[in-house]
Amino acid sequence: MGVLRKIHDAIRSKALGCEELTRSVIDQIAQKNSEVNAFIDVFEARAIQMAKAQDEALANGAELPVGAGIPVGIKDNMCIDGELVTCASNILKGYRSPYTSTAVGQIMAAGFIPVGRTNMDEFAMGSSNEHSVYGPVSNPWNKSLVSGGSSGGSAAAVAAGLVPLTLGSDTGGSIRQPASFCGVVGLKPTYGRVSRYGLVAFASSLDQIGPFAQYVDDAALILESLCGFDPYDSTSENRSVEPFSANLAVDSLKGKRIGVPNQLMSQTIAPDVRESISEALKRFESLGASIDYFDFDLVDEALATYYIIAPAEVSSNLSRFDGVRYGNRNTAANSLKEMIQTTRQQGFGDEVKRRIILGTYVLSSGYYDAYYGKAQKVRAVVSETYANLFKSYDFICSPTAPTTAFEKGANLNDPMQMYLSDIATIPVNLAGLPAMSFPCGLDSSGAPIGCQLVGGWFKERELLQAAHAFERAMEFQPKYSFEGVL
Amino acid sequence: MSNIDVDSILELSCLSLTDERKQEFSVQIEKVLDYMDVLNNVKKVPDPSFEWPIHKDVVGREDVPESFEHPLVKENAPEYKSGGFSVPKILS
Repeated sequence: MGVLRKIHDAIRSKALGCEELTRSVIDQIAQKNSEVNAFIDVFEARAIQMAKAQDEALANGAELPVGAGIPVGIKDNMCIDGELVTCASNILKGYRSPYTSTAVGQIMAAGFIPVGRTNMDEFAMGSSNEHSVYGPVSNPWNKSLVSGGSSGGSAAAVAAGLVPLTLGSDTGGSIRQPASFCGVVGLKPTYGRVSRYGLVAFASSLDQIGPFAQYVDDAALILESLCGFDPYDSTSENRSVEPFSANLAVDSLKGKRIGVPNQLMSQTIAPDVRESISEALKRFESLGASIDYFDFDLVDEALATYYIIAPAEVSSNLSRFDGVRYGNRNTAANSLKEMIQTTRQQGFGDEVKRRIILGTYVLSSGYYDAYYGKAQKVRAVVSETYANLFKSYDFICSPTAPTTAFEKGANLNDPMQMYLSDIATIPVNLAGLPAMSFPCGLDSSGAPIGCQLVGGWFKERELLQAAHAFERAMEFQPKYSFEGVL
Repeated sequence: MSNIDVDSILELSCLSLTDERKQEFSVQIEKVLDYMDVLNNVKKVPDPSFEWPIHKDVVGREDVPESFEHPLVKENAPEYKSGGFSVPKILS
């Protein structure tokens, strides 16, 4: 059982007040956040007001929704009416959103209370959360290590026990990789499951919002509120929302077939990680699943494809940040052109600039067919390959990342090395598949290891059931528990 | 990418960099572009139905811009005058 149902029961029985819980969480953030730098803003007034309204509704006999009073951290790239949203970038410092994103609006309608903003890599570009104008996020398991990225603040906030749930976004692994590094559960839904309306766009054909939690049950509960058709997102899928949390506990995984790509269990994967995933596979076998290894020859090609398509979309999406309508502007410029160029130069960090330049290059005349055109074809080949694999397997299992969390600063001057840390997660985004990372052990230094499970399109329920069965069998111990706040 | 290439890409990107940064980025981006050669290993012609495996019938909606009425639009603007966004001269 996750922590959400316990909080819900405590609130319903009036053993715990929503306002009491909210104040306790805000105090906890004030006391402990400086150790990890997971939160960059707290919505104190809004959160207390929402909590009081819920306490009042309960006192008046209302049946509270499942998320009532549950505090949630929101990544700094999802709009909330009247609140700051900066994407951890200097160019958006001080920007207040005039509307609320559909995903956040839906969880608020289900009673969840956004309590603050979580840190991230600037515009969600990065795998270590070191590219943030607010400074790096520290890994709660070992403060000298990175949290992973780009949703590093969301992962660290849950791992540090500051909140039971957070939202992140995943374009190439930005939920799963930090979940792996911080020893928590992270879920990237199928592309189209969750509306992207109000999520500041990084790479629109890849971005997807999803939850972080310490327990699979909690991730399943909030996912029910996150999903649903949204006419404001033309890529939102019009299909009914499944009760992901109902019947989550299955007795066995008998009959389930798990495929393991040889290339993601090769010598390029750290020995401790490989060993831990081998143990995880044995555990899945003991739960009744069958394991089979196969060759997935597109691992390197998928990485190359991603680093063409995503920067190309970045080059287009980030052209709107020009200092004309919102955000910071260089007021010393003498002409419009100079104002735009210098505003962007001063406003964007190095990683964002690198990707804009790379994206503009691959889209430019003379290079488009060789890079972007070719990448689109390979992307389709990746999707087709997955479609064929899911004729033979129910799930595909691998390490979430080739290593555990690395030291801060280790890969900052070598972007290619940083990009390689997403090698196991990126192919999933190219095909738009759902995938989860959940903890499966610790390495010899005590850093968490994440196991990635990928399902067929819209098979989130089956994924959650398998991860839940694993979680119950594994009994992974979080370093910090949110229950300590209660 | 030579320096000339970087300059033209920077122009297209509406970015400017110091010479030192240009040099540093050129080396890093060249390394990334070298990695892209692996795409030539893929000879398979994809089934066109997998170009967009999920959204086969995307329907657009009418865009009705309403946000200009929101007070935050004015507050968020670096410079707002007479109902519009003010910018420096196009020609100095």
